[in-house]
Amino acid sequence: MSESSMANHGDQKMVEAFGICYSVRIGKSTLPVLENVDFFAKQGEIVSIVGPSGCGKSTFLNILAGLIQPDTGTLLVRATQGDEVKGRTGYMQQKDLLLPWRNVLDNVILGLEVQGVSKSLARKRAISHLDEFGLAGFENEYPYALSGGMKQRAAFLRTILTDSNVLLLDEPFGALDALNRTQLHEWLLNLLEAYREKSVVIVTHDVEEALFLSDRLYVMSSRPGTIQMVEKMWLGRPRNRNIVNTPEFVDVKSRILSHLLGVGMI
Amino acid sequence: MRKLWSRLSRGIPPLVIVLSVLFFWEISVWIWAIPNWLLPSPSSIGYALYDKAELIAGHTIVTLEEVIIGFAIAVISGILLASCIVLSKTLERALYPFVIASQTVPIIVIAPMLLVWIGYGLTPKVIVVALISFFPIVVNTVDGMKSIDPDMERMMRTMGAGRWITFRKVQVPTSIPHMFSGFRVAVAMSVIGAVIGEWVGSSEGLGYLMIRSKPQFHTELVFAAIVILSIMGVALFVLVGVVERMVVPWWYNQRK
Repeated sequence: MSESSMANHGDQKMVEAFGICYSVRIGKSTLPVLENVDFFAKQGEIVSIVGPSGCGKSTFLNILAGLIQPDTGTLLVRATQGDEVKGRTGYMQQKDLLLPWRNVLDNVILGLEVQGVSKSLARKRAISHLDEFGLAGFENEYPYALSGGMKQRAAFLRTILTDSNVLLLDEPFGALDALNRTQLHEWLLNLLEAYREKSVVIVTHDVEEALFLSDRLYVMSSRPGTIQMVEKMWLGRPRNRNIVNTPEFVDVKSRILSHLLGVGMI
Repeated sequence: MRKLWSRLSRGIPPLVIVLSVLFFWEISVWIWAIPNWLLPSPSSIGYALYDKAELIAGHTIVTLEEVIIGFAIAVISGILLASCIVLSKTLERALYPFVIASQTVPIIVIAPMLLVWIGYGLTPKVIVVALISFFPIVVNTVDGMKSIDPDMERMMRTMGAGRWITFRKVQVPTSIPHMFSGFRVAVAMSVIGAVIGEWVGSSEGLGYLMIRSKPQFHTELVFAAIVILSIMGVALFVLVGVVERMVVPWWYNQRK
């Protein structure tokens, strides 16, 4: 890949998957989990995968993260420059997974530490980000003292600091209350403006969340998971929370919901 | 002031129980005129502790030394063994059966054999202490290291962490509170270990004092040794707790 194409945000496909199939063996029978999933996410794009619980969307994310191998299909993840096959992705889950014996600062540098960056250098890099993640002044606090939203922001900073260009978020707001979640949605969208070199893949079962956050949206059926529809959003960024009340938004949302409900999937 | 009082007042119930037991014991010995060699009264035990303080202190130091060295060996070998078991499936299969089997061999049978093999002195007692107290340390540490969240392990893998980094940065710190549970059980057992070690053959220590005093009808000295051993056990148990609070403050803060 040439330098010029890298600079051209929006065209470069950072994640590509074709015909991904995956099944698990339970005793003697095999249970198909994913069937023929095609997927891509471009640079600077926020893509959501929405579907009912247990449809295999988290499994698909684990495949993108390189945690499990698909049975068949091709996968291309350009998480780091020049790494065409399998790079390190930034992976974040519903649980914050902060280490209780480390303060915020030492928690967010975990990924850098694993990569072999010295602690002092890693801390220096992390400190410059604390403000934009709303964690300034809390760097010496331990996780038990933080609110749910703060823990999730710390977990997100830890993910960003790994310097991967592909961020995989598995129900990142699932453990938060509705108010906190709405706040974090807006915060995340604003924040990602500064990280247009990254592709973000969000897995969720919340249709409104998926619509509000993403540029493109995949709707998945229940097991075996297949892609049912792909919705290209017209919303520009930055976007305002009030957009969820506009007729267009409500229209798309109800269309997706009735599709999911219609097939008896939620 | 109020805090101090509430702390002190928590000590009242056990104190009442201890004092009333001692009171009825004293009274019973007096009423039925039980001879001293059969059951000494608390006052005569107390007097022995005072009168023979120097003698008892000398034997206490010997036993304490055996306990501390044996316990330290148990801690080091226990953690190393647990790490091997956690890091390698092969080692787990190879080592764990022996760890468990070591506990089924009666210490009381092994102790005299150690005497034959190694002779008198500190070493056989230290071995008995270590043998008796390493088991709870291994089991608790292994359980602690294995208790990490599978999601945590998955996240570490996406960061590119290998087996060893995950072990060092996540599994070991996670297991420390579990280790301390093992230490607390082990430290209480190690006092018993030292006495067993001395019982089968020794020339000093509280266990030796007990077997020497019994045939001489100095039963009050036997009981005095028991009192000192209990105090030693409780003190070491509390000490482990204090060290734990210093080493893993996050564990306590998290549960507040």
